[in-house]
Amino acid sequence: MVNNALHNGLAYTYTVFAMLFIGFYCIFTRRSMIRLLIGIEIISKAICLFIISGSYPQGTAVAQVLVITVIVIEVCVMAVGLGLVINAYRRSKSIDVRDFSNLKG
Amino acid sequence: MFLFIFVAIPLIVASVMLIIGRFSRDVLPDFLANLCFFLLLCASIMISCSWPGTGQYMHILKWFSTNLNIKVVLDGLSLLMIFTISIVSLSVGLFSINYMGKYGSKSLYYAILLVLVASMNGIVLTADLFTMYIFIEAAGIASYGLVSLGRTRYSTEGAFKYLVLSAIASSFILLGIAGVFVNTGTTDIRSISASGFSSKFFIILFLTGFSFKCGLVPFHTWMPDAYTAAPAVLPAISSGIFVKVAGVYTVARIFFNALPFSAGVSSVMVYLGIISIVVGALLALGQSGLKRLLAYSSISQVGYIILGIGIGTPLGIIGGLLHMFNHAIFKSLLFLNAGAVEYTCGTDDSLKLGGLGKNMPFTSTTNVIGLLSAAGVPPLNGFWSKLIIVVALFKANMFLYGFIAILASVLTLGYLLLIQRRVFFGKIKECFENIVDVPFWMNLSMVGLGLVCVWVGVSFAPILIKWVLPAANVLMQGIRTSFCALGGIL
Amino acid sequence: MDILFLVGVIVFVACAVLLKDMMKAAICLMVSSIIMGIIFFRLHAPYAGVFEISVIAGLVMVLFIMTISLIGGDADVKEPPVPIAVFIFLFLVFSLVVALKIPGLPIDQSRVLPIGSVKIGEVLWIRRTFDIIGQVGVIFAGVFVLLSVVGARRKNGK
Repeated sequence: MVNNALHNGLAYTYTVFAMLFIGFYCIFTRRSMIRLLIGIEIISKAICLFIISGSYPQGTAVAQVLVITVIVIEVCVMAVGLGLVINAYRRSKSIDVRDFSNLKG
Repeated sequence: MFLFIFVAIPLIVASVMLIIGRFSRDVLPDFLANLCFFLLLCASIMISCSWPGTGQYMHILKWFSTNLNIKVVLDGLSLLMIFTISIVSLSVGLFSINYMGKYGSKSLYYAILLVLVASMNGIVLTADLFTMYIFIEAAGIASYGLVSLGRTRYSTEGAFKYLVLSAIASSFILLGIAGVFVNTGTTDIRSISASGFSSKFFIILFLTGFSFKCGLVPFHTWMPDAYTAAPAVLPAISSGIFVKVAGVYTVARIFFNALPFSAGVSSVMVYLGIISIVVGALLALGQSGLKRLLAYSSISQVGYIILGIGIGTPLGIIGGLLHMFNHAIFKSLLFLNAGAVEYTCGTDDSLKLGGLGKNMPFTSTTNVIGLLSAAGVPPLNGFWSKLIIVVALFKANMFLYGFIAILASVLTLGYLLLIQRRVFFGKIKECFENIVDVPFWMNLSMVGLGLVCVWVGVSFAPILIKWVLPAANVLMQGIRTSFCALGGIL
Repeated sequence: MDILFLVGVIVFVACAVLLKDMMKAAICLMVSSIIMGIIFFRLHAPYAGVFEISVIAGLVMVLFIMTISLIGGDADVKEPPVPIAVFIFLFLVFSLVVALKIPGLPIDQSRVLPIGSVKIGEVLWIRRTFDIIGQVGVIFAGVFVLLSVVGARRKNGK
């Protein structure tokens, strides 16, 4: 079904790295809290693709179980993150991380 | 079955906690949570007593006579971690009986804390990298929740910053685990080690991810912000054990038991450790907020642990692990002291405080014990572990790093004494003249931790033989060096 | 065909990062999730594909869209003026590096994985049961933390 030459041509691995790059670019340049969560989401998607495509020709049962677990964790992290976004918005009417005034690192 | 209670009991208690909170606002949640922590401490001491010193316990749970394959593995290193987790979580639990009253629903708080403790026990009791990752995430989510309990704008922002940076760290770790899985077809630590897999790329991923989790410089920025904004129980439990379980323990597990420990990994860990020690101590110098100062101090102390383990010699590993235990005790103690000061005075800014020692004798005394221990003054516990690390550095011919470690220790003593003088000694400010000492349970937990500090310092040999040596043995198996010769140094 | 899917994922993900309107960005992310599910299916991972589509494209996106509409107009934060050209330039440089480095990466396509034709339910429930406990922990943590975060908001609103 899937073109084997494509698989050996590492197109999937390239896609994984491209998505990782886009995710990190998003986290390091964007300023909106929601956008940061989107970046995290993209990175985790890339890792799921890496697990599935990396273990493609042989057994995928374990790989699928791992991906399903990662997805469940992702949902929880996103829910908590969005809850914090709403909370921050209620408190300061802004979801811009530049307004994080007291965080000096 | 017996080992599995370390994960199961806190989870079960957490699940009923909210229902109990409907019937009883304070008393029942307090009692149940602390009973649970106390039981776990008793269980960990019981296991330690019957522990043969080598090998590992492995339980495979059965359920209706089918193999459920919940493989719970306990060896020397896990035992040390379980013991540390139990002590610190019990004292934090006792402390929060009085302290958490003003931070909203107590049952919810205890539920989050119990999930955090259960997840940390899960991290150290599993022999599977991916399961370890799941529990790291669970504990991480619980920590964000505890940060945001501060109920201010800053705590929400601190929690969010923590979440984003921690998610970056987790993605590095997960990518590393995925790479190992794709290449070896397994995530079981023993099978990975048997397959002999090693790859520079994934080692870098693991190191970066866990440096975030440990809060090593330059990946430390989440730590001061999250700790400052949170109620003091979070930094006590997070700096005390979570950073060690999710960062140091997992690094040790992966690089000593799963992947081969190479000279490159060793030197990177030593560099990271030294940089963290120096930068953390220097940054702590300029701080006036108690919790922020202690957060920078944590960065510096975790640097010692990573430095000790990173040397890779038996002595270095022993020193690192002993310092991990000691740091868990005295740093939780110091953070709880900061919490006590904040509880009575409403602020933890040392510039606004002064002369509290007269009215808060217990807090003041235990704070002195904690800070002397942190600075490595004999005969308290921090002295021995720092001594062993420095001796290990000299023995490995890293004289420069040894001197840096000693100098940073002096610096630690300097800034902590400065804070002690500002907050507890001197003339009392008039606005704090009629404060009273903190309630009984807070004092009890602080005094308990202080006694452990003194006890470990005075008689450190039993601790070393009972807990730290077996743990170090587990790590040393990874580098396959004969460890018998070491008996001589005791 | 599969190349098209992969390109589609990259394009939609990039749109999710670069588009100014937050709602459109979320929808782009959803589309990329759906395409990702199809890719999983074509890689013989149907369950993972179903989860990707139903949970990420469904549940998480509902959460995102709810949050964005709750926040309303303030959701479109003014981003720093980094031109898209910079992104494309960085992306190309990165692609070049990756294209040169990928063959050296230890992603071996010729190894034999030990687990062959095992049923997914068996793997999930029999072989990796401890993971289920971990997931329970994650879900508990998520629920309790959400309760505490949302509860704080309610108290604040009063």
